[in-house]
Amino acid sequence: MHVARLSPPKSGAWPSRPSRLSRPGATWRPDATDGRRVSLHQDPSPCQGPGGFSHLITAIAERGDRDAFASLFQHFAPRVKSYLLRLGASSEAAEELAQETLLTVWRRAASFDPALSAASTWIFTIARNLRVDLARREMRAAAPRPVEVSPPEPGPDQALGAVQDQARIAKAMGELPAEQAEVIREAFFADKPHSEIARDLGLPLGTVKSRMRLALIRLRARLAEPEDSA
Amino acid sequence: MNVQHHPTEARLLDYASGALSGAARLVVAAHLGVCPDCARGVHLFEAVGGGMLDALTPSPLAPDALAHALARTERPSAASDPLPPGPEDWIAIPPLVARAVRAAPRRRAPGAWMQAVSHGPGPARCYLLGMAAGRGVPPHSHRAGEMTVVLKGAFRDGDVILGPGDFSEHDGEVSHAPQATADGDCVCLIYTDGPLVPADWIGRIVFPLLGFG
Repeated sequence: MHVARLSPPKSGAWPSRPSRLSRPGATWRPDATDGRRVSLHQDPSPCQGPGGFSHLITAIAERGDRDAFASLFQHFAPRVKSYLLRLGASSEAAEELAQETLLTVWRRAASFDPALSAASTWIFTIARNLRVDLARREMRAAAPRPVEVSPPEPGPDQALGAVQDQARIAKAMGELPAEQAEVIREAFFADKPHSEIARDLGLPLGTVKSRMRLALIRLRARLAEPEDSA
Repeated sequence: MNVQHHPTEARLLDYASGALSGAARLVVAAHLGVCPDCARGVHLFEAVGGGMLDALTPSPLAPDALAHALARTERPSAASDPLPPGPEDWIAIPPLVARAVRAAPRRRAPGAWMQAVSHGPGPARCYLLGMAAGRGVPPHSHRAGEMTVVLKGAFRDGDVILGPGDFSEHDGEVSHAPQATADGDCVCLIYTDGPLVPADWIGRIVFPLLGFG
């Protein structure tokens, strides 16, 4: 299995994926009506590689496929654990939350829409939401109450910017100026809001906000381009 | 819906990464529910997060982790409560906020009411603030940041009028006196990091009635 190593902090771009993983059937196109919306033409055939875990989730949703679950678990649970370890979780807590993340994938598989998200994106948001909820539960330890397992996510209408071609996103990330990629990496792997990132990097708040803004603009622009020129 | 005031891209990234705390997330989430453009921005950042997750070096789990998980998949999952809808004339609100609308007591002062949604950590809190048409909140500042999303109606904040779905954020330096427009009452979902500091004697009387201070 291909294992890309995340660049150490401050060392340039995020590694891009090997081209064999890109899916030529997927094309970003600005929507004809407002020019801002992007939609995805998806290759209907099951895809291979890390971009192609979607069909495993679909198999769980459609027929409770335990083999599909095992494959997903073996790929993603150890990565979710790594993600949580990077955010400072204990090994025990990271393992527990990784289990819970994959079990949530099992339980909520029917709500996964491969046209809206890549499997890795969906699983990332589940792990993130569980982590946020856990923090909230710990905060409320004295007064337990029902917890939202998953904060509301944009519905299908809002998620037309479905970004699911991970190969293209990795490439676009890799092409960001290092200073922009750095603040985004910090955001995901330091669990810090932008104000703290600014403080820790010794940068003015406005500089960090501006880098994040420019990064989003660049990523959007890159992903709105036709595939062959991206 | 014509949403004109948006969170910064940095806030969208805070939301996507999970760095934004639970209570503050609610305010951004309410905006995302009615703003496809910001929702797409968050989704793009989430996809970046998904890619980073996928590219991480795996940390092995306990040898029996998969067997353990498979055993748990056989258990029927607990039925979740149906999500409570919010009031009909508000923009769509996160379920936790809708629950607070139904369950939390409303504290009232002349021309305004407050309903707590979520507290902590520390002085941080998320609450609903209602203002009657043409009425408002006495002048105040905050010792820390404030995020607001309009759920119903519109209010004037200095020279700016914010309508349904509009998002605004202030740092602790700003002193303001938000006031509902004359067209009708206004409801906002607000997150503050620190206590409200009244700027005059009216505020010193009104804020305790609303449960502040």
